[in-house]
Amino acid sequence: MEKRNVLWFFSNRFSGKLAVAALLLMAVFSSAFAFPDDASRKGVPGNEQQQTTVTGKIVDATTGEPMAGVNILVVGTTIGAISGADGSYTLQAVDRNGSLRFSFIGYVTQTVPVNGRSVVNVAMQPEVTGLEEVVVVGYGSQKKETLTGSVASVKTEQLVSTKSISVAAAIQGKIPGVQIRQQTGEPGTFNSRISVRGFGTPLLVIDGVVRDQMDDFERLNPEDIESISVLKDAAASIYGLGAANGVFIVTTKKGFAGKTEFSLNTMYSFKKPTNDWKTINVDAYTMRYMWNEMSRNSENSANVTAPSELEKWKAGTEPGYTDYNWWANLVRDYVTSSELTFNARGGNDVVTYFTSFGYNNDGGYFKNNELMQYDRYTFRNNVEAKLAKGLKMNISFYGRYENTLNPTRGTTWTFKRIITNDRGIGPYTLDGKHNYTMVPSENTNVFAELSREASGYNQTLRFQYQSTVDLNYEVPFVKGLSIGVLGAYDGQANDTRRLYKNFMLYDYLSGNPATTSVAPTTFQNTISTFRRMEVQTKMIYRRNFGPHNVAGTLVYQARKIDNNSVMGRRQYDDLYTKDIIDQGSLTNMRAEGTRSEEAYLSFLGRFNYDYKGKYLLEVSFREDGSYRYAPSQRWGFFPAVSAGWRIGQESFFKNTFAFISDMKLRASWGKSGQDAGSAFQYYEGYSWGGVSGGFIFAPGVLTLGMVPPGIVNSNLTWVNTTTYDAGFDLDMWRGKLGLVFDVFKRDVIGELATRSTQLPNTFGASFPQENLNSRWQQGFDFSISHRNTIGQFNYGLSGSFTYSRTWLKHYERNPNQSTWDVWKNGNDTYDDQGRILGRQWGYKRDGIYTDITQYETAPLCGGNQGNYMMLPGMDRIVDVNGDGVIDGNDQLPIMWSGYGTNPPMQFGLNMNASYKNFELIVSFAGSSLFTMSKSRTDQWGYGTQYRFFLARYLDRWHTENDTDNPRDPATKWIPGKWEALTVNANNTTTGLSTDKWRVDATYVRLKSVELAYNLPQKYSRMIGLNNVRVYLNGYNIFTICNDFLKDMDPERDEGAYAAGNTYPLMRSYNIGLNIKF
Amino acid sequence: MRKGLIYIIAVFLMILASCKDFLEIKPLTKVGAEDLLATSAGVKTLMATLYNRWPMEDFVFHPNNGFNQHPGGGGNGDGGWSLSSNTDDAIIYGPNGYTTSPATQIVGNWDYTGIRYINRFLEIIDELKAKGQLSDNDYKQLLGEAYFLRSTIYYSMVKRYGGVPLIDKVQQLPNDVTEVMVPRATEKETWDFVISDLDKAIENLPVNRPSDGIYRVTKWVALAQKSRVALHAASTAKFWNKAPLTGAAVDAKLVGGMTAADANAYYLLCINASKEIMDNTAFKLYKPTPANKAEAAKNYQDMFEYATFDNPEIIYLKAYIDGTAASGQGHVTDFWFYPKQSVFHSLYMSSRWGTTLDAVDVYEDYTDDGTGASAPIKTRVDGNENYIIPNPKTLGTLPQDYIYYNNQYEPFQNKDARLTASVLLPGSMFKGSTLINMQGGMIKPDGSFIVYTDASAVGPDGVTYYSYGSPNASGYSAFGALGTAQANYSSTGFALRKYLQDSKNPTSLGMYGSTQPWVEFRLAEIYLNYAEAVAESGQGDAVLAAKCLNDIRKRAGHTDDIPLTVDNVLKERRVELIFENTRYWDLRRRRDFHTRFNATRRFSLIPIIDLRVNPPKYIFLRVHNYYDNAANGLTFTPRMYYLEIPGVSTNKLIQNPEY
Repeated sequence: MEKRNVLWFFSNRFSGKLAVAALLLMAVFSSAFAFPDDASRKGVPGNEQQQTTVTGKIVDATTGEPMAGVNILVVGTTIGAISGADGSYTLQAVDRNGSLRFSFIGYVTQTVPVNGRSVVNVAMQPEVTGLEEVVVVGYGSQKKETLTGSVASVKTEQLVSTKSISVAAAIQGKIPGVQIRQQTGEPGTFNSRISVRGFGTPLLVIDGVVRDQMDDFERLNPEDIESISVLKDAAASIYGLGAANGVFIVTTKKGFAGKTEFSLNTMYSFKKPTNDWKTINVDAYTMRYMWNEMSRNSENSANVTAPSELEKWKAGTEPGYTDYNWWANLVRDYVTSSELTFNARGGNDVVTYFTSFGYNNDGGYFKNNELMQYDRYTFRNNVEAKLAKGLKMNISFYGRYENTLNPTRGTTWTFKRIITNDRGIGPYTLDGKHNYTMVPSENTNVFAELSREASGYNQTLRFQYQSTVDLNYEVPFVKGLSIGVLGAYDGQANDTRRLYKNFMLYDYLSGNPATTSVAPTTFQNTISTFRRMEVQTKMIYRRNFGPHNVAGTLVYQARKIDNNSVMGRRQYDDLYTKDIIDQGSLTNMRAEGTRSEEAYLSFLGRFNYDYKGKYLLEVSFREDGSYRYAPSQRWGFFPAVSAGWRIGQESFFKNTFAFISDMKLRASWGKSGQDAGSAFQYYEGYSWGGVSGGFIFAPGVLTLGMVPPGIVNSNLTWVNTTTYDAGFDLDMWRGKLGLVFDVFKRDVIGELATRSTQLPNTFGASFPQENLNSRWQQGFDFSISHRNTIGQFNYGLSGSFTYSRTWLKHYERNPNQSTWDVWKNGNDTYDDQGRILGRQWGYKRDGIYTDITQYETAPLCGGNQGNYMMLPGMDRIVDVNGDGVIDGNDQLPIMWSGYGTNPPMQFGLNMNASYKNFELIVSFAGSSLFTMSKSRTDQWGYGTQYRFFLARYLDRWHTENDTDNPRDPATKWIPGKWEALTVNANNTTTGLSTDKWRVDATYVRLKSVELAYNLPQKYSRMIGLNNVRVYLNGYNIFTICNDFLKDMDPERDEGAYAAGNTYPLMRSYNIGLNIKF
Repeated sequence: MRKGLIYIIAVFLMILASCKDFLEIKPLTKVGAEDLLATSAGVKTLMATLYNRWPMEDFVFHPNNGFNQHPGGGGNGDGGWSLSSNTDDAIIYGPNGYTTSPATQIVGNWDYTGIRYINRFLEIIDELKAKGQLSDNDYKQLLGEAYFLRSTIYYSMVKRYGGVPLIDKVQQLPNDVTEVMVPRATEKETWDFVISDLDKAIENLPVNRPSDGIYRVTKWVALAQKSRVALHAASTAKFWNKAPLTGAAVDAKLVGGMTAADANAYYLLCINASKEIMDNTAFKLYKPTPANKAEAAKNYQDMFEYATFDNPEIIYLKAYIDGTAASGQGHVTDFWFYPKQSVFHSLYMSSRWGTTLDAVDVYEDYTDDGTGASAPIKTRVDGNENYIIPNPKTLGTLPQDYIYYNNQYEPFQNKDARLTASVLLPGSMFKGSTLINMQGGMIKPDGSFIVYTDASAVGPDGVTYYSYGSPNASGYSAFGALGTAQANYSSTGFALRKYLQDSKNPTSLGMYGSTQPWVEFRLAEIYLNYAEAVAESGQGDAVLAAKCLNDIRKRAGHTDDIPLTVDNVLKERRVELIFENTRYWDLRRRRDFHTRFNATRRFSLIPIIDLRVNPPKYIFLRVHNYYDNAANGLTFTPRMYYLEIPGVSTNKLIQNPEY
């Protein structure tokens, strides 16, 4: 019956590809169902003698109140029940010798043997977050209470409350020490900056195997994730080479013994950009009016637009003089996207399984949406089976398929054109032929660029799979010893297609061709494949000898990777037919291909000892071998030591600080490494010198030349890092207040650089890269949490905070030439003096000039123009050295730097509350100590090379009449927010780098809010469902930041030319339904 | 259960065992020397790189941008630069009206990268030979080629910089850069080093062209190079003091500093090397006895248009493949130098050079008396060919006393066959059908004088005449649009003829489609080297030297003998080897450049139609070249005999004088 329900649900509710996908899923489910359940295998169905009916009442252990909705399961069967409103339950036909499992979210799951009883009452213990948790660490898991390293983790519930297509966005602000900056909202683009403590991109481990890049992490289906652990300190050292930036360990959901639980989550989203672009530029007439004003202010004699013409623009009725709002005509008011995930969990004593399917769809922001699409399908199946006594097998398979469609010209350029297009020129010619026009400022046509028919497309089809088989055997004759083998085989195949069409452009008014010819259409198809094989053999020992607890892990691991890529390209000389290589012409055809291989070997181990769980010690090591380096430099040893003292368990401490439930002091030290430079730098090999490097030895035959190698550095090795961490975990009033605090430092030695001393030019080669540079990073992070229950009101608060800075210890550079050089250039980009990274030089402002006569006595800032170009409203710059001239020597390191970094200070605040059937989850995230610059030259809206004008600059200083001479001291000026505008900022203080244009980008963003309602079970059961949850969710809802950045979004980078034209981040409103049955 | 355990342990052990060579991955994008040199194809690819470093001043050499400036690879897109346009043989011009400093040759000459490649190659072949992987013959050939190529790079440097650091071993990466700093050798030591490398090449190179590559060098190529190098060294030794310089580099003899005895020794080396080629090879002049002037001209033209090793005069050629098919190959000679009237491209390329009147005047005619004297073009009734109009545009009075000619070709009809084969002359036929029109002005019937300007007038015969000789821009080849971006016309009244391919249809060639080989060494040069060395030093066989000189003239249709004098040899070098880059180095090695060019304007010859007479006739004006006027002439100062040493701040070398 239940199976039929599911099928019915799918076939009626969803059509098309979803239905197909669902059917596929069902096929997989049926294989899961095919596992025999324990009872039938034993061949003892329905033995009345051994069975009984069990009833009971479930209460909360702390409050004594009855608990509704507790899940009760007869272990090893699919028989189960849910407690009623009074906490009572009834189960029939229960094995007298069986056990019952009681579970409820937020409470400790208990398994109670029946022992022949007919009444089993249970008091549920609330789960105290933190100390009793088990945390996944490298090559195993540990109890959080005896953990000595700095490991933070999030669980699935914390993850899924933020709705974003990227998992990175879902954990932003939720893990102390993890810095995340989302860079684009473009469908199918996953390039968030993810960093642990400002170190750089971390290593990604999924289910015990090092896998992929962080963009693959972002693409995971969040519903599949059980937990994410972040190893921030020496705990990461067990991953050795590659783990210098910390490690993300993703553990996916597994099955459990019990009745199959189906969960279906559907969500529909409405999205808008977080930044406000809609009214960014002014209409065609105003732009031309302002042009004339700027021209006048710049002392250009002639009006750019003659007054008579201006009148026509003002009227805006005559053809060719009308305003065309590019934004309104090209961009949607909102975008929609949808998500569907479906999973099933269950099993019996022998086999348990988790299987899931996910589908995401994300659409583009342009009205013609045929070139912006992203679809993602994920599939995961984890099955665990007991093959024999003590022998367990875990098989998991993960597959992902993605289809991304983009315009060929790139969305940054599209947005730039939409904003900077001349609004006085329409998209199609006025001659009635409706041809694409050439539109300034960029002299192209964005309509054509967004048309698949006119400009082609970029499409990427990615298929990825990951499979793992893990065997574990508990050795029967050595207590506490188990051994295991893990094999993983992963692969990826990408098919990238690029049809690049060129198109003719025509003059708007006359309809004459504006371009002379059209380059041929080209089609390029790239197929790349990736394979990774890994084998791990492991030995784990864990045993207690009285108060002495010991554990050890030894792993031997081998990994091999190969990459292969083939590209073909042809053009279409005459007729474009189909986007297939064979359909193109034979002229200028191209074929390219690359291949590479990698191999790694590792031997690692970890030993834990604790005495009574109070004095904790952990020692680990890893010996890593990498194919990249010369045989003599190939092997690296990465040890780590950490220790902890659970001072809270000492009686003297307990007696003194009774309110402190637990406290642990921790410290760690560890080494790890990071690959440096390209592989095989040690190898003295010859390579092709290209077509102009050959010689003709025989008539008509060009012999291409092999170029001898330059200097090789066979001493090249990885970047060595050493991590130090000290911290404490504090729990007060039994979970009411929790605090985890860490200070850390990391030394990075041997980053690659080329020696600054040059070889004489008679040497014939230059220095190779060497391990020369070094830096250190230090900072602190903490999280603070509070949890409480007042009656039926449960709530929790947790805040996280990260601060991390970098200093350069050695940066290979030419010696300083003077003390001034030390002061000026020793900062920011490199530093021998130990100064901090991340400051930007600029000029200091102290007000504005309000009258043109003030320039007679003001310091000169306009180079050879003196102050001639200066006008009222322009900034007064502090003449720091007092020489009467504003120049480079007056700059000071007064600003935080911005572009291209993960801000050094990041924080988040997460709140959740539940009352009866309602839940509210709120999450804030923010960053500080960085800036964003607004480009004044590329897109600031004034200047005659760009034919648009940004509306915000209308509030400017201007002359009373538009015929007044701006340089006549008698002219009256109307003040405004912005200075008098000129065609460019040359020779004015406006052109200088100040905090007016590079502004503090500190922001706090309401990242997500989720309000959910759980349908009471008495109703949900009526429709055959266990649990129905309806939620409203908002993402990126509002941002508190400098007003000036509202059209940029402080989270996103400025993008190319600091113009802020990157695809915007999205604010979304989501409505979703989650059902379990 | 035990079984399971055994399985697991077995797997464990298997993995351990299989991991022995697990990390031994060879890079997929690089090839090791041992693999590369194991096959002859591999050797060839490496040799291709070394040959590619040969600093040859061929069709793809650009004086300002360096060697191997194939289209797509960089430079020659700038069009038509060569050493000839840095001398009094030709003038390059273009949109910017640029002339050039005669000394600008900066890029690519300081090629210690190439030296390092070759030094490493020498080590490798020694290793391979020691391991028995190279046969003696192969080893000798590779050794010879490597020494030859190294000598070309050092020769390219010594003739530009004087003495340079002599590095003949691969330097190892130092702990301290001072360990690898090598001071400059004296200029003499450097010349000697070049010659000793050549001697090693001569000793080891094969006598016959290798069958697997006819463009690989032989013993005779090395001897020809030695003949050229020794003559260069000898004249530098003899004449360096004509342009005295002072400074540390002079004191240390890093530049100059050689004696008359040194000069004589080098002359003798030249004499011996040249003689060895003459005595021991089958090289001989191509078609040495033409029946008439026309045949002589055709033979001479064919030697370059159809240059092959079948031609017995040719010692070494460099070949090209079509650059329209293979990007980064081919050369642009036809594209840049075809006359405007045969223009095959709608854009702005044609007649990138004008040949100077200076060069045209040097050629003899066939009416001389056996002295071998030049026969300057006759323009003046009074015979005063020193009558030069500095700027015809501002000419106050009308030209008078000029000889009237019936057509543009008449003044040139008796000139040396090599002139017609080297220079496109006014009124000559090109490709059998195009009458080259170089007219630059007219005198209207009313006596008004128009030059460098497009105009028309009705002549006394009722016919409309045009100042450029044609109403259409495609109907003339000189003086159009001077100083503008459309200036794709000769500015001298003459254009290049020597290398153009009559046989090809230019419209199908495309920009990079020229593939005619570059003649690097031919016997005529060896004859002239010999003659000069004998004439300068008195060593060697003077009779043979005179025969060398006159054999070359006879091949050009002359019948008389002229005596062996230095002047006669130099004049013969200039006309025989015109546009083969000898003039430039002759001026330099003999230290004649600074006296020849001192704010000096080169000459143009403007054919003018005079409509005052009926039927209208041509007069020819000798004028200062338009572009040289704009640049105030060309100047070569003594310091330019040596270029600035690059990178002295890091290599700590002594800088050349006056830099």
